[in-house]
Amino acid sequence: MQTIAVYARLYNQCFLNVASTVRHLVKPFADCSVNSKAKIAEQYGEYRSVLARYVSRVIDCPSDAEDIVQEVYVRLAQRFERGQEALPATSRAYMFAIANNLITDSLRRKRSRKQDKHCSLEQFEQVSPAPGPEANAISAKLRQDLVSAIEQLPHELKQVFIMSRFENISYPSIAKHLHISSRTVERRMQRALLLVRARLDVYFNIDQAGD
Amino acid sequence: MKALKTPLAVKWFLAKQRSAQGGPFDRALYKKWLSESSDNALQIEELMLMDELLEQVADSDELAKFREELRATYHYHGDGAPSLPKRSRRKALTRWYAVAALVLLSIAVFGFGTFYRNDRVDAQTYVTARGEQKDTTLEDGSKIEINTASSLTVLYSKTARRIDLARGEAHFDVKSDADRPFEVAVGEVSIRVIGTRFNVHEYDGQVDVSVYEGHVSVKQSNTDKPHISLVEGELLHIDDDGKVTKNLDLQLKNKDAWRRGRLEFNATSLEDAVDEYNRYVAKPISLKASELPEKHISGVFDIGDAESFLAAIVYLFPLEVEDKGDRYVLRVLKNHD
Repeated sequence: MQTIAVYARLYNQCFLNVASTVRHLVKPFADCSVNSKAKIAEQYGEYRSVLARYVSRVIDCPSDAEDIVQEVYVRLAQRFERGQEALPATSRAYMFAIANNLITDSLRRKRSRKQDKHCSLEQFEQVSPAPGPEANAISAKLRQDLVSAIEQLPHELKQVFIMSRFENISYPSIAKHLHISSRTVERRMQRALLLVRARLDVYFNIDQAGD
Repeated sequence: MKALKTPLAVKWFLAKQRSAQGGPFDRALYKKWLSESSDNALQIEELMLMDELLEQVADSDELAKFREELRATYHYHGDGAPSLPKRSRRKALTRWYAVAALVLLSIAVFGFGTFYRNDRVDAQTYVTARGEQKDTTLEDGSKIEINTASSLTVLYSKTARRIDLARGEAHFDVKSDADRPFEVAVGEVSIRVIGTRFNVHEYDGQVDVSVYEGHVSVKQSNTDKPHISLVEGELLHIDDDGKVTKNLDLQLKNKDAWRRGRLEFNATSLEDAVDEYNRYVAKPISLKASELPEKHISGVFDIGDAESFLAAIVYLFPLEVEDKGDRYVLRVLKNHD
């Protein structure tokens, strides 16, 4: 256990109480059919950096991304405490599910407090009274990819998608306006969502998160 | 681009969203589905994240332009549609004036570079209007002919030849190259071939694959179902729920007539023939003859030749044509009994 704590400290200097956190963390990763302690620590480090890279694909602010990665570990630990540790085969998917959930929350909070749109790092480094250069919650590249994912939808899917998603028009109303059935509206929404998701795969693909 | 994920997650996600507006939603069944696999939870969280990301770009100028166009076309204010939330309506007004110039600059460039790592990929998108056809020859000599109202992207690299058919129909004549499989992705279906000639048609979420030469292998990316092998003369139909039927393609000879600028019907039902005709024209025919018994039509027509097509129909069946300006209406003759 001590060896693990040391490894953990090397990989994750941000935890205040490394030892107690590691106690929570070792079990889920120990389940990953890994025998030697060195391997566990290795995986711990690997997951941490993989997660960090995954989160920072979407979150443009390094300090926020860091917070999210740590929070994933806290959630995993809490889950372990409640005796619901994820099974080895599923823990990876579960970990990324938590990460997605936390990213969503973080972005939503930023959006609802527009003045807090800038990188939270600046709150602690207010060297100048003038507002610093505003960094957006998500990168310009991601913004552009999102917009082009929508723009590249086939016209009839784009219509339905934008009407439903951005104009908040109900399926029956969309159906009426476009002279198609509600069922077709539904199908087109499904296809549009799938296509947008596929276009954004580079951000969501957890198998490539380690690259 | 990885294969599309299971649509089940998408269906649940959309159902859950709609339940906020009073749509039907079986919470217990949803919970059960979620608990079946952590992958399900992952997919739902992905979609929720994507939804929030979309919210982040909701105000973007490019989308604003399209939204304004939609509003102008469909007048959905005070037309029975629920009105927009105040927030977006106010924004929309100010946005309208600000965007026009910016939009011109922001032609979307999509980075396919991530699709195949360390491998340069050429991506080219072809779009045809209603009634328009295009063809293109790839570097390797494979030929693609694109039919009416279609959109198709070619991703061409050293290790892969991949086509994304977003909608419509195309005919592929593939040069054999064992090191570089040729793959056509359409919706949740992917078709892999080495060298062959085949036709793919996508319409409203359904896909038809017909094989003219050699064989192809079809895989539904959202399922564990095995590859389906198709040989010359066979037709695979996949409906929008992913159900698959394989048959001998009796209409095979007629099906690629579009490549010769023709419509060919061989004991085709009149409804299907009219649907097929309408794919190519701005002025469609609407058929109001459900009270007639089963009607079939055979013959060869030039694409878009309304006169001959309608003349044949009124000659064969007790129907009359009315020209409504933007469309033709076929109705049962009044004195028919």
